[in-house]
Amino acid sequence: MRLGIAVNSQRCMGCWCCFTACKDEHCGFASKLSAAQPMMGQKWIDVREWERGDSSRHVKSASVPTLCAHCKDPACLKAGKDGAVYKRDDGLVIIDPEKSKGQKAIVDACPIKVVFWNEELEIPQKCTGCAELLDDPEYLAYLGDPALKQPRCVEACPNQALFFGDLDDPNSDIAKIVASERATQLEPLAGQESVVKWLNVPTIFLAGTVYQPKELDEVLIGAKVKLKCKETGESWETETNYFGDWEVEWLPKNKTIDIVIEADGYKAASYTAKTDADHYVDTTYMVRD
Amino acid sequence: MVRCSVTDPNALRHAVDKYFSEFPGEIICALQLWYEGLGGQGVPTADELTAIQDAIAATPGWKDAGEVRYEKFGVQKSYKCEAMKTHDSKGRIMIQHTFKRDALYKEPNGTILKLVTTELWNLRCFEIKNGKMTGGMIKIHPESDRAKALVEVKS
Amino acid sequence: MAEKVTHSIVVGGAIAIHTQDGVIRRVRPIVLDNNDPKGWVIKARSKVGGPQDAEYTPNRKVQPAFIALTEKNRAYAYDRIRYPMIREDFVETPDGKNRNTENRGISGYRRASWDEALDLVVREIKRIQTQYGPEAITAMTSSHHSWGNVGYKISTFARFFRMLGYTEVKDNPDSWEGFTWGAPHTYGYYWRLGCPETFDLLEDGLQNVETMIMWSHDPDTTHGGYAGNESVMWRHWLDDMGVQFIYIDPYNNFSSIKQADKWIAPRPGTDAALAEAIAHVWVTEGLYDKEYIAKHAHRFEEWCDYILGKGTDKLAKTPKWAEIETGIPAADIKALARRWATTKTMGGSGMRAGFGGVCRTVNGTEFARTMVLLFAMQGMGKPGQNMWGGNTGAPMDYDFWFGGYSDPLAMIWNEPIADNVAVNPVMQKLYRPNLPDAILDGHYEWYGEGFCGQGIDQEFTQNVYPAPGCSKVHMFWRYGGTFMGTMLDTNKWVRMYKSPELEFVVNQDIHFHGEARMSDVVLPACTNLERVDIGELCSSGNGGYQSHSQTGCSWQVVVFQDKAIEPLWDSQSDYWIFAETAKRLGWGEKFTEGRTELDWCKRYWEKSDLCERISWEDFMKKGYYIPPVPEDRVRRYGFRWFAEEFPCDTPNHKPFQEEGKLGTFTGKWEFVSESLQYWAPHDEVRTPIATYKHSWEGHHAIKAKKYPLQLISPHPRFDYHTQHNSSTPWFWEIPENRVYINGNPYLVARLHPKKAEERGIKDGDIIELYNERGSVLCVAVISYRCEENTVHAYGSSGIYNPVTPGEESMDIGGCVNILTPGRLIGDYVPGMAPNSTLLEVRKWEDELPSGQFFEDKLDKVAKEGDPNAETCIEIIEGHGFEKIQEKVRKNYLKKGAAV
Repeated sequence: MRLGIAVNSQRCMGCWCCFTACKDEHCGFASKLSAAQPMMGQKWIDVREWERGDSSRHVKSASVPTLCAHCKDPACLKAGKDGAVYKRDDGLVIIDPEKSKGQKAIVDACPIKVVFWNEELEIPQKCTGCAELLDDPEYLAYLGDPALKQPRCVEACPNQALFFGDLDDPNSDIAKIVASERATQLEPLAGQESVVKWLNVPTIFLAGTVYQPKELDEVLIGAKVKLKCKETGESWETETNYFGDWEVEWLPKNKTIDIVIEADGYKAASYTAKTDADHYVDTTYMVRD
Repeated sequence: MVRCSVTDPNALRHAVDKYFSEFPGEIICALQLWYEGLGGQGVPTADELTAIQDAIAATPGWKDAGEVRYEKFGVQKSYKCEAMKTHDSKGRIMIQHTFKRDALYKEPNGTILKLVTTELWNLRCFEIKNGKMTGGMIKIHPESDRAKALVEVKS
Repeated sequence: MAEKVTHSIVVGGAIAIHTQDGVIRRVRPIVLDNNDPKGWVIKARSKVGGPQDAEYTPNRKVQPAFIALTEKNRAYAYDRIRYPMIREDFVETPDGKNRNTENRGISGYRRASWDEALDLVVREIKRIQTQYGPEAITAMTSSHHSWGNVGYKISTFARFFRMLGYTEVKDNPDSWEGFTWGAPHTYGYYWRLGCPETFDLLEDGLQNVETMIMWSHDPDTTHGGYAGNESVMWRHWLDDMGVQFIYIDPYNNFSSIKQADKWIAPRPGTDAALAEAIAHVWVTEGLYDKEYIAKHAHRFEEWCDYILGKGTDKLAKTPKWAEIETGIPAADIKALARRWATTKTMGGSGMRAGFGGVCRTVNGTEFARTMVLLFAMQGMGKPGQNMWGGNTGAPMDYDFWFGGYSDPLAMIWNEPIADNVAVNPVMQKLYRPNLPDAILDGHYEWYGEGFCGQGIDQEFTQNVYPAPGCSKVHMFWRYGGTFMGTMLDTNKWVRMYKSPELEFVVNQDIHFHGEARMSDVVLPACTNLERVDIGELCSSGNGGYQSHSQTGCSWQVVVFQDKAIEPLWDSQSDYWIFAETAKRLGWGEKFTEGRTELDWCKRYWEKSDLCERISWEDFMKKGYYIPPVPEDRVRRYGFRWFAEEFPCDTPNHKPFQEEGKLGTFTGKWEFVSESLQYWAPHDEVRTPIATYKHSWEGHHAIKAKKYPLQLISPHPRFDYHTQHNSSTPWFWEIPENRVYINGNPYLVARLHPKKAEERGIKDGDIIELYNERGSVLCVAVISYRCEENTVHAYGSSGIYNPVTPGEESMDIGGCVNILTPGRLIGDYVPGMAPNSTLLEVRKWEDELPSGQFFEDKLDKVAKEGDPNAETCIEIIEGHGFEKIQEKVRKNYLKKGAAV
């Protein structure tokens, strides 16, 4: 059995229910597995968000619920001394609130900055996967079905952006979602296996709008937009939609992309764009042949 | 901008009759007839209103009902008819015409009920005793025999 | 350490509350168990254009918004009013004069006992009644600071004041102004306050819709009012099947940024121009439902003439014209119009398809009316063609009646819940948006009867304050929440409170909000979690104004709102406070009818269908009841009866609907409004033909030279009205909400990179938002999500933190309503227009003050009650919360041992 949490970034609407439920569970309350989280200053699960795009013509946002990845080979475990960080049989990584005292190196070791330093107690703290609740036979006994027990963040998620369960059980919801969606391990964890599985965390888009000649005040629907990356040899193709808009998602980062826009009766337009960040390439006014 | 001339008594008479042949309600004012029945556009003049009021008053079955408030038109000189339609042309029940919300009804056994909601799937009421609502909520299907036996208590 | 689980409903949704040893441990969503019914199933497409071969059913949990998960914090909040308090320099002069009223907001408080506080209140009530008459007392609630049919404002509060006699303050429809004052003149529905009916449209949408027009609509933020996150999955389903979402909003709002296939950004307040240009495209290209219009529209040709430039203004409403007004490229307007007309399109404005920020602009009525007409032109009521915002219209059990908060049958002042109806003998009224004007000027006149839900004619009733033969008001009892952040021109309210005209001000609230700090006596009420109540999730009542609003939820849930913990400190339930006051006034028995709060709760079970479904004992034990939706349910699609001409079969209908007519004068879609021509022919703000008009506070105004930016302050994403942000420091750690600096949570204000650069403002800078009405310090977020001329900062700030308390000073609490105009939209349109605000923004270079400016007042009173009391800052940042819980736990266990 490997308990895990799948985080589907595409589904996350940034509603902060997970964050609030986590705070509700851990702020001011200690358990066998952790000291109390201070009222302010720590985010055991954070919704990390960034704005995507460089124009009001095409702007999106990314929302990535970010919590301890419970890595297979945790950097924090290596940084911890005297068994301060340990891994349970179910795969969850726990920081011992007593043994970890004074070990700030555990905080610094985390590649995704989800371990926090408690100044007052001088201990590192982070997500426990709500293991203390999963272990407690009384918690949620009133539901009558232990299968309904979930970490607080997952239970609170209304968007089906968070799934919890046994990754080793192919029939579990979590295994199914992990199998069907695009796996996107967080960049700082590249190469690391973890039981928290991030899905659909966006990379880069390029987008634009194609108009007929300016004086016509008309969008151009169905123009062919071809993208090509010389470095990787990959290419992409799309068409402008009913607003004349085009967009290509999931482009490789930090490459140079050549773009050609073609439509019958018009001269082709071409651009070169970098995928250092999400870009709105241009509003293109096509010129007649 | 009137589709039907109110200055031509015959044309007006004809239009009013035609409207009443389809109108299922029991209360009407000249303004409502102007807008709904005559295709009136804009506010009618005093003369036009008088002509319409005269035409309504002359219609058999319609009697002067004094001043009545309408949710749209406010307080208006009104007319009332005896016979009210309870079903549309396809035979479907018109609950709001058949049963009045907040009105009192008597059952054959003498029980007085106050209708508090009138919905297609349920009339909901409370029994009235000594002027007070008593007991639990009673549900009556509007097309049931029990509903058909209800008689409005006119104040 | 046994864990007790109770349930409740709060404005953020339904919750399960875990308590241990008399203190709240955690707050969770209600997760359904195997004894709860199956969810409804809707058969629909899995892909637009595909067969109806997929099944949709809700998650087996009742999904609250995140605000509901902070109810524990709201209970143990730092700004909780712990004890009855009396203003330190309040003098109980026998004539009501010389009471240092100018110090309201400035002076501190002292702790009082309940006896002292209530005796004073009762003496003052009697004095004022004797000196001036019962009408000299006025009282006012704000919306939704708590939930429950017994304890909510329209129930217990109304029972007390109706029995006492008072000058009622009529609410304005502050969240949907343009729809109340505009839309009924186009299609009726004044009994739904201008909003459409959306029954069963979730199924229609899932089966048929291809395009969603989300006009000034942010469903993930507004949560269907009080439906929490119950509807978010529905929009994921639509999105996943390829339905195209087009969002129209000057700010690329939080739903839009995630789900929009296209974001269209009009300059604030110009949406009516965009609507007219869409119509222009449709009329010139013949892209509308001609058969439907021929049958159901009134004076359509005249309206087309106006659109085409053949009207009196001789101005064609072309996309090019609209481009200049709105800033949206003409080509985009054409593309939008064609997409809308050539696909099955549903949509609307705001959370009930008739809300949204645009309707709270000077052009609100004209926008609402024109937008409604656009939906008419596409055959509203036909499958896939309707006003529906993707967050209402779920299947429900129409055969089950419980009674929601605005249902006349579900209030404890009224039959059948009470034995005797409480009737207010005072006829004089006041009107909320202009309450300060009335108090300060001593005279006020206005049109309208509050929400005007009982008829179009109500919009045109004339009101005068003081009413003939009546006294002016001299005592004000405020109950729950604060208007500092929700009403406009906040400083007007400050001036009102400092006026000696108000001889005595009582504030009854849970938290020490902006207005509580302006009162003479503060009465501490407890939260929902500290008292019993009963209610249905998101139900305003089947007979209420938003009839069947619980269709905004996936589950219909009636909850026994059990008491989780005892009232904290000296707080008491609102019911207790009113009952105790009534007792001291000599009519306690009449007020209670011998019932406890629990007895009142049981009355709702007895008098509704609940008693047929579950025993009282089982209901109390289980904590909630979910009526199953019958599998063979009858569909009653909103507005279908009109399109297909059969007697109206949807709830809450009117006789004329059964005749296939709308609630307009002609019973048709009025493209030229006969009701306006009849009732207000000379109104220049709201003309018989709805037209885009230059705003008195918009980019054409002279003032725009000095204040070139436009503030929009929509309903908040990170709060509910003013209820959560102030009490929940966790929220101050959400970067899109607030930034906690020097002990003060600064609100985020957003502006476009271009405008920021012109002003030398960088992301994260402290900025001053200002105009002639005041100024507010915020933290800048520089974002392409703003239309270029727009400053976006959420309204309804519960945090009001003037640097000089009690004065019209700069605010650091994010109370941006200081900047909004206090003026009504028009003489005949008594609505408010917060989203018509001009302002300028500059970088703040001076030092920042530290802390909030009321905490010392609270701390002082807390220490009077308990020398070891936890201070505000200790609760916010330190161990105050834990210490409070520890004390309560000890007390609880001691009492338990004694038993």
